This record gives sequence, structure tokens and C-alpha cells, in this order.
Amino acid sequence: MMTSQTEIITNMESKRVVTTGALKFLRDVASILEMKLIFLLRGWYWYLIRPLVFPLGVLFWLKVMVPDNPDVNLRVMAGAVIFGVSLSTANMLSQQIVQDRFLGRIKLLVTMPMSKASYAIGVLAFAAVQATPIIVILLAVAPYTGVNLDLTWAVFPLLIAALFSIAGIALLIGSYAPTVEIGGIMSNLFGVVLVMVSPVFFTMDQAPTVLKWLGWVSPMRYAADGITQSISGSTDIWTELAVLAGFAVVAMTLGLWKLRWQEE
Amino acid sequence: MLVHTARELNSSTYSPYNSSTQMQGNTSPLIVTDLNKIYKGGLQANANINLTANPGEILGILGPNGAGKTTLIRQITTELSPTSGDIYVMGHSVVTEPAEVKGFLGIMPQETTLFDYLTVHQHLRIFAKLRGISPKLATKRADELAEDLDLLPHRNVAISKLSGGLKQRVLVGIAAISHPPVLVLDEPTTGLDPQSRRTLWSLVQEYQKSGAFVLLTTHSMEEAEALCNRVGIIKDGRLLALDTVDNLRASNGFEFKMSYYPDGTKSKKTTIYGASHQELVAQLNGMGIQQFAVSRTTLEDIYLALTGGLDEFDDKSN
Repeated sequence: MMTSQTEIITNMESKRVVTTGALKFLRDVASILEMKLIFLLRGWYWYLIRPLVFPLGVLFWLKVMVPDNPDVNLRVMAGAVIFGVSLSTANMLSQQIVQDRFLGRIKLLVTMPMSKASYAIGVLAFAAVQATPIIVILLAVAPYTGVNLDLTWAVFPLLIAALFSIAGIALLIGSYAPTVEIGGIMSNLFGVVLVMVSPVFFTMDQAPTVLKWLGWVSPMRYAADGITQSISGSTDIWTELAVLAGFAVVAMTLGLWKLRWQEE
Repeated sequence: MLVHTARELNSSTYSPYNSSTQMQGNTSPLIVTDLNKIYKGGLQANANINLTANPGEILGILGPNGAGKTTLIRQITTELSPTSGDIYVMGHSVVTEPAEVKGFLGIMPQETTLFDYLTVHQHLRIFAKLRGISPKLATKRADELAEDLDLLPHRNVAISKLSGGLKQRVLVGIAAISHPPVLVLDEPTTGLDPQSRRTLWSLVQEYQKSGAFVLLTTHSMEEAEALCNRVGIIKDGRLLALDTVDNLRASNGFEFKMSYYPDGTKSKKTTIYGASHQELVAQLNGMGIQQFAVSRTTLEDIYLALTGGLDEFDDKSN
């Protein structure tokens, strides 16, 4: 009786079994995302607090130092958003990939009939889910810190491009890191230090020569430039958007290429 | 236990494989032809390996550390590309159709780690989905498998809190979750206590009864002798022998062994091998030795002989 019931259910469900194609790819992405979200939900408040504390602190500190300058306020706000995204995405994402690699968990995923692209997109989706509340909270507190926001539609594609370019570089770090420890150092250098020294909280004009050079190649600077404009009523963000999209494509391609799914 | 679920999963309507790729009576689940693997540094890990597996058998691969067992397994599971030669899983080449091959394999890799923050049920459910089972059925399948693997009491326990034996059971569950026709287990019982090991053996045997082919590597002669229909012995990348334990005994001409003390004291034990115990008794009587112990040779004896670890055999062969 039990078996026949099961067989009936089994027959009904059989049409939903998929091993290849777009549906399988999307299901794999969703499964990886679910796996990572379960990890996140164990202590979600810590993962929310950590990327908020530093940008909010910097926001407050700069507000105190430069109290009544609307341009500085907007730049600092944009910087805080990038810092929040960077902390929540770059650090967390690269560390997750590094841990999956060095703890042997990727070996288990490799045994499944799934592509490494679905793994990478799954962790990127995780990064997006993680960064979204950070961005919303930072933009929500902006009016209370004296920042006069004039949000335009341009902020959305910019945030997505910024998120994916940062996540792409995190994937690159996760794929290239030779050890867990070095992976941690690399993700800190990228996620924290690069934000602080790139023209993010300050503009290219204000940067010393060396940091100007860094500004030309840092996706953080283009993200900050674009977001500053998009939250101040301007939609002329195409250059920044194109550069960020380029960063995302290059970093994702290199990261995926380097991510070991089959050994040499 | 696993057979119950395997039977259901084996129904033609459920299988993730379409009818043209179902395991067929005349299709060998695994064929390895002229396989060579040379690593970048020049190390030849596999040399001219040929083997054909039979449906419904458990094939064990034995060999010393560094013999090339895991290299062979990783080429079968498409993790490594062969330098030359090919491997066919259910008729599909690992070189030209690795994605298709993956669909036929359930793999329990060596030195892998589960996600310590996921529970047993979460593991089984998520990996069922990654195998291509629909989300709704994946939940049901995870529950069934947890029951079959005797993991229900630990259903909602995080992996980090489980013993090594239970973790290995979860790994077997993940490998078997869609009832693939080929199950590959790389040293599945390493580090397990005897009870956990025997539980795993039962699971593997149950799985075999459903008609699947099981390939396993092991260092345990006891395990190979208890589980495997045939064993292959690898050394220095070469497959030295591949047969049933009985045939390996017969073909090497040493079905029996006799141990004795040549000088009458118990200082140095000597062992000799022969095709029949009468032959050995006659040999010892000719040497004037009256006290000796006779027994059938074990797989370990054969293994040591073939891998050069049995001086006595070498002497006899000479």
C-alpha cells in the first residue's frame, strides 16, 4: 500500500525531474542561494550589524568634521553605501568561496551534475540578498544625517552594477587565494582598505597623485561617482555604469575561469 | 533499507535519466580503455589501465598509498582529464561527454566536508535538488532517505554535531539520493569504528541489490573481501590484477598457506604458499617439519604478494 502510494506520487512528480537546461540551472542557483542563506540566517543580525556599523560610523565622523557642506554630505553618503556593500559582499563572499574550496566542500558540489557558473551565480545572488538591506537602511537614515537625497532611477542599475563588479572581484579573490589566511587578507584589502584609499569618501580632485592612479582602476571610485550623481537628481551615469559593467564581466570571467571545477 | 527507496527511484517514471539512457542489460556500467594519466610534473599516476565492470557488482580497487587509486577514481568522476585513453560510464565518454557522465554517477569523494551549519535533512533535500529532483519531491526523498539511513533521530541536527560514522552515512545518502546506476565510493570507511563500518557495508550491499554498480577504493582487505565481487589491485599506476578473490588465489597458485618454525623454536616464523594443502604438507614433511598451521590464503596475502610486500611469495615464485 505504502509503495503504491509512493509510486503514484512519484509518477506525478516525475515530470518535474530536470537534469539539464535553463530550469536546472535556475534550480541550482536557487539551491546554492538557499545553502548560503541558511548560513546567514544562523546569526543574521551580526551579518547586518557589521556592514552597517563602519559606514554609519564613518558617516557620523565625517558629518562632525565637515558639518554643513551638501556636496560632501552626498559624497560621504555614496561612500557609506559602497562601504556597506563592499563589507557585506566582498568580504563575506570571498571568504565563503575560500572556505568552500579549502574545507573541501566544493569537492562535494563538484560531484553534482551542475555547472560552476550556477555555483558562482548562486553566491552572487547571496551577495545581492545580503547587500540589499544594508543599502536600504543606509538610504533610509540619510535624511536624518542631513543628506538631502534626490533619488533617481539611475541608482538601481548603478547599485546592481556596483554589486556585481564588487562580487565579481570577490569571486576572483575566492578563486585565486592560495590559502584561507591569504584569502582573508586579500578580501580585507579589497573590501575595507580599497574603499578607504580609493576616491570613495573623497573625490578624484581631492585625491593625492598616487590615489588618483588607484582611482582610475578602482571600481569603488566609479561606483561612488555614479551613486553620488544618482542620489542627487542626475541620471548621467553612463560612463560609470559602463566601467562597472566592464569590471563585473572581466572579474566574473576571470573568477569563473580560475575557479577549480575540474583539476588540471 | 536503501533498496526500499531504490526500488521506488528505479521506477522508469522517476529516474532522472530518460529511457534511452536507462541502465540496460547489455551496457557495461564502466569501461576503462588504455587509460594513462601523467601529471604536469611528469609523474605517471595511471598506466595502460583497462577494465570492464559488470552491472550489479561491487568492484574494489586496492593499492598502497600513492598507487593511483584516487587518480583513477577522479578520472572516472570527471574531476581529472585522462592524458590518453578513455573511460565510458553507461556508454558515455568522460572525455567528450563529462556532463552526461555526471548524471549517471553518485560520488562519495575522499577528504570532502559537509556543510557544518546545515542539518541532515537540509543536506539531503538541497543535494536532491542539485541532482535534478524537483523541489517538492526532494523534500519527500530527503525524509525517505533519512529513514532508510537510520538518520531520522538526527534529522534536524547540524552536521557539526554528528559523529564521523553518521557524517559518512549522510555522504552515502547524498551519493545515492537519485539512485544513480553507478556509485563511486573513495575510501568510504576510513577512520570509522567497526560498528559504523559494518553499517556502511550493509548500506552498500543493499544498494548493490537494487542492480547498481558500486566502485569503491579501500585500504581494508577485510572490507574488500567482505563486500567486493571482484577486486582490482593497483601499484605504481598499473592494474596488476582484476578478478574475484577465489580466482586471484587460483591464478597465482597459492590457495593455501602454511606457517611453521624451521628451527623448532618460536623465534622465526616462516610461511609458504601452494596450490593445495597436500602439496604443502608433502613439502614440509620432506623438510622433516611436523608442526605447522594451515589456512586458506587471504586477500591480504594476495595483495602483499602482488604489490611486493610478501617476501615469502617472492621466494616461492623464484
